[in-house]
Amino acid sequence: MKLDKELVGASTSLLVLSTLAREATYGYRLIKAINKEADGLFEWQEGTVYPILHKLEKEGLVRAQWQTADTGRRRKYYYITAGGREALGQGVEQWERWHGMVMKLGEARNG
Amino acid sequence: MDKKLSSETEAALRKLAREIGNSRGLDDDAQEELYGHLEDKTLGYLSGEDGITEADAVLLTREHFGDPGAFPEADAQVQAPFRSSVSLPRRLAAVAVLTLAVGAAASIARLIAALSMDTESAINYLGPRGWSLIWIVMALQAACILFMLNRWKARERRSQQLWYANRAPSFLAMVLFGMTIIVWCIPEVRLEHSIFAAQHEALIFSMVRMPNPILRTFVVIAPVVSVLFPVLWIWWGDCESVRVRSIVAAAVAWVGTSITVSIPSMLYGSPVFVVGDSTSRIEILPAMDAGAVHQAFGLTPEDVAGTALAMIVLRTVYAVALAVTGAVVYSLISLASRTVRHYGRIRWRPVAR
Repeated sequence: MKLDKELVGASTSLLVLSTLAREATYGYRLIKAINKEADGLFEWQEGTVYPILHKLEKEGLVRAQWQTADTGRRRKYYYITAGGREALGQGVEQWERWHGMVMKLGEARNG
Repeated sequence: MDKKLSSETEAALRKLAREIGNSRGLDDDAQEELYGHLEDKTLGYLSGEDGITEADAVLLTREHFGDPGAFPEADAQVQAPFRSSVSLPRRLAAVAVLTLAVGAAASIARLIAALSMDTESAINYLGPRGWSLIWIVMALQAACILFMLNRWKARERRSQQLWYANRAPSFLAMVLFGMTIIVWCIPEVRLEHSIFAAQHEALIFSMVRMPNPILRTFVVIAPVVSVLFPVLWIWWGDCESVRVRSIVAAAVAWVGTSITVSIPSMLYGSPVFVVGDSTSRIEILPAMDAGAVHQAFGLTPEDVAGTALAMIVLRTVYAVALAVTGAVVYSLISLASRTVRHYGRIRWRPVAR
């Protein structure tokens, strides 16, 4: 099953921040990691991830740094900042509330 | 993934990154990031089970990125004007500290120049060393400020730490106060009708009193450099979503700083290094003699009623006039820049006949 695009679109920043909270990484690896976690629910392309990374960087939620990857090549690594962790916590809390409400309404529908 | 690509493949990927980057208006940093991504993508294809060649992998990568919509939002990001995440008051405090620090350094440079120069040369504009020193100091002042502001912007783009971003307001106020005192304490070099007066008297006296035709260029250079300072402030302030308010705030802040710095010398006088006909000395001039206003307008100290108020008023009018001119110049430059960018983005194609 593929998820609705709007549903995924509403949580893109959150997914990027939560992936970076686990480990700092660069764009290519980030796309691979998220698509692996998605397990076919959705598949992100470059055009989705890089603009989000640049936007988060401008907002100070992540910071970028050029460094040598384990492949020996220079890559632009993105690190989550303290502000990013705070935004992630707030975002997750909102999603939990939203999820709770949807589940409650779903249970009501099922009687 | 750690396979080494051939130089031909790397060149092909560089070319592809440049093509995509140029078509989307990506800056160097984004193009470099894109190149890294293309490299990884190609290596990803190569590490697949099919065992394709590097040339095929490049073709696949090119095809993958051939879609013009591959980076639609990235395009918008790059074209968007720079927006600072640091509040406007902090940014203006930072540029005030920078301007004062550069001004202090310039004063010291002028002082050293005056001390190293023989009086006769200074008075009579002899030799190229004197006027070139003043020119260099004036140009360097503006260039240093522009360089530092650009550097701070670049640091912010890279989300690096900025000294003015998280400091307490009281700390910034203390630094500003300290810099004002330092600027006040550094003796100003003064000798009427000499190269050291050229910067101040350029508009009024240069044509008459400067025998050297090269020195007469000060008539143009001095006002241009004077306007450049408020332009730089306004450009630095204009990094917020509310453009007009930021521009006005930056212009007002520049006027405020300019007047604040000159008030102590108008009220209490200031040390002046006097280059005289017979001797050079440092004097602490009283308030009424500290300014050049009465001389510029051919007035005696008594004519200006023995009060610093007239000089402060004149100084304010002068600063406001410069700020307004700066805002107009900045708006024109901004308009021209937007027009050039707009026409630069249009893909010109021959008209089909």
